[in-house]
Amino acid sequence: MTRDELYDRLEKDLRDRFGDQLYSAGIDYGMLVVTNPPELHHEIAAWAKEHEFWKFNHFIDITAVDQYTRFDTHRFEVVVHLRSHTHNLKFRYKTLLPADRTHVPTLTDLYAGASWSEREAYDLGGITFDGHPRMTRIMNPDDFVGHPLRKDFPVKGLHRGSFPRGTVVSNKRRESVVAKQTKPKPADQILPRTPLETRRERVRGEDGDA
Amino acid sequence: MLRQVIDRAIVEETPEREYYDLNLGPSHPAMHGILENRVKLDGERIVDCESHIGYCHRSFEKLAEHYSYNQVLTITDRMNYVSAMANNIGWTLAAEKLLGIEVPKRVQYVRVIMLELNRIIDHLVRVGILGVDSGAYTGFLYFFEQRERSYKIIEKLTGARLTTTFGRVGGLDRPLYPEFKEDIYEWIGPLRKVLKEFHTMLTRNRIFIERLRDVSPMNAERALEWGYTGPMLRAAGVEYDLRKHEPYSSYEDFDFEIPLGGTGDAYDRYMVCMEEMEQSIRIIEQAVENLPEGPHHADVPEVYLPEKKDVYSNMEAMIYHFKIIMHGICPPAGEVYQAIEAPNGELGFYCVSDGGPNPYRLHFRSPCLYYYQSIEELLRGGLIADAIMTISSINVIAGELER
Repeated sequence: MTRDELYDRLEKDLRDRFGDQLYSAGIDYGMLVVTNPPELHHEIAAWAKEHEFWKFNHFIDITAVDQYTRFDTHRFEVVVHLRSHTHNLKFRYKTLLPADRTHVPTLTDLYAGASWSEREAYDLGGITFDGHPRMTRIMNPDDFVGHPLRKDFPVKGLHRGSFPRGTVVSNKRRESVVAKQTKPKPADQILPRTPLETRRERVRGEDGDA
Repeated sequence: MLRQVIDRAIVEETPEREYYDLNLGPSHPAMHGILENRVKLDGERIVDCESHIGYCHRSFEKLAEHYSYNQVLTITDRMNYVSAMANNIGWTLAAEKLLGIEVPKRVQYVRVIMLELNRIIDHLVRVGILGVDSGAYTGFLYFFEQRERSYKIIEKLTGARLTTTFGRVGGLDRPLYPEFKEDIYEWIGPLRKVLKEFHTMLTRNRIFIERLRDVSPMNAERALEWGYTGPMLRAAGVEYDLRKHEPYSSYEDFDFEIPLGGTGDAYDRYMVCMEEMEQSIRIIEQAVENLPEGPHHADVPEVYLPEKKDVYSNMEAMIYHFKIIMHGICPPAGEVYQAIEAPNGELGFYCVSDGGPNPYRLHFRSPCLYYYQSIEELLRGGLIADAIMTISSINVIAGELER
């Protein structure tokens, strides 16, 4: 079958399975694009992976797009690309999230490869993935405030001046942290003892000399 | 497999064993870039690993939303700095797909030549450093001489060595220099010889094989789930090469083979890379042989800047020059996913346009991210010495990983 025929069949199969729940499906720049509500986010991936004819078992990409200034109906889109190894076919499905919703189920239980891209989408786009084993920031420091790829985040960043140690956002908070850091602590209070050190101490105590 | 079972048995028998925590990185001579791996050691065995990235994050996706379509090229230079031209070409292809531009055959062939040249450079560095990490420094020096010779050609073509900014949306930024073909022929001869020498030095070397074989194997099914592409996936035995499966830039004109591995261990990755270099040379030879004549850019005056001398003498050219500089290139609203077979794997560009002069949203699908996120699984149960070989063999480049 040619690629167009395959896409036609895939579109038909998707419509048969999900029916009116899909918002749209069609060819865009030579690739099948499906848009769907957040309830279907996990279901489409599960269907596509387990389907005995299609077998979309190759994970390509997941990312989040902020359509803040473009549409009134929704704000965030979670875009997933999957590939079928048996048919050499890629397709894209976009989960449209209404303005008040910023979370979708994770795909890590189906595709291990979704792990870090979902963390990236959380860190930069602010979409939370429910059920992800480690939903923390990946590119930015843990105490970073805001999600840079949202359209309301200024390109210059929210902080002023250079990044202080510990990455604090406003100047007010920065001053207090800098003041705190001026009193250095003795090293042994900061670092926990390593197993080697405890072992050495034991040996030292028995021998009586350093 | 057996080794992993034994390891698990040892670990389970002694749950209260004292583990030793070790920070591999962020700044470590054996780390390729600023990568941090916190490993938990039981003797020399890695019991657990936790990986952290982000030390090299430069927020390219945000920057790209404020750059014009041609300015984004300078960002892509700095992603995979070992093969900058592959990124440049990938981005120009994505922008051209969005704009609906068909570039002349000559441009497509030149792009193929430069893509393959960059693949060779990338693999030379990758394999050379694999040798260094396993204790064979000599091969690295052999390869770096060849890499230097490749950069001579790139320097002649673009004026830069690493940050090439090669090509523009709609064609090449300048015509080829006259003796380009001779330079390529002159470059290929010694390269073939050195590849052969490298094979005799390492491929059947007992120490090298023992260091690489059965290190961090990955089966095909799991590799697909992890999102592996490129040499890493082919080493696991899956035939997937975008040059064959989704041809772009006239790759369907060339005759070449896709090398495949079996177990997906470090030695297979090494062998796949070595064979890919041979195939790349074949493609370059065919492309240079059949290089068509023609213009160095498509006839798209609203996208491609006119010649400077025309701007001063020709009314049309001046208008287009003004329009492109002041208003930028404005593709129709829409979104496109264009992927190329970069040396490291599938490099994808997902670009959303709202009809303005800047991309509304640009996402880079970097191959490294998908390899490197599996590092915790790859390292667990192995030796600490194998960890270095694993990280070296997957060729993670921090600039592309974190963008």
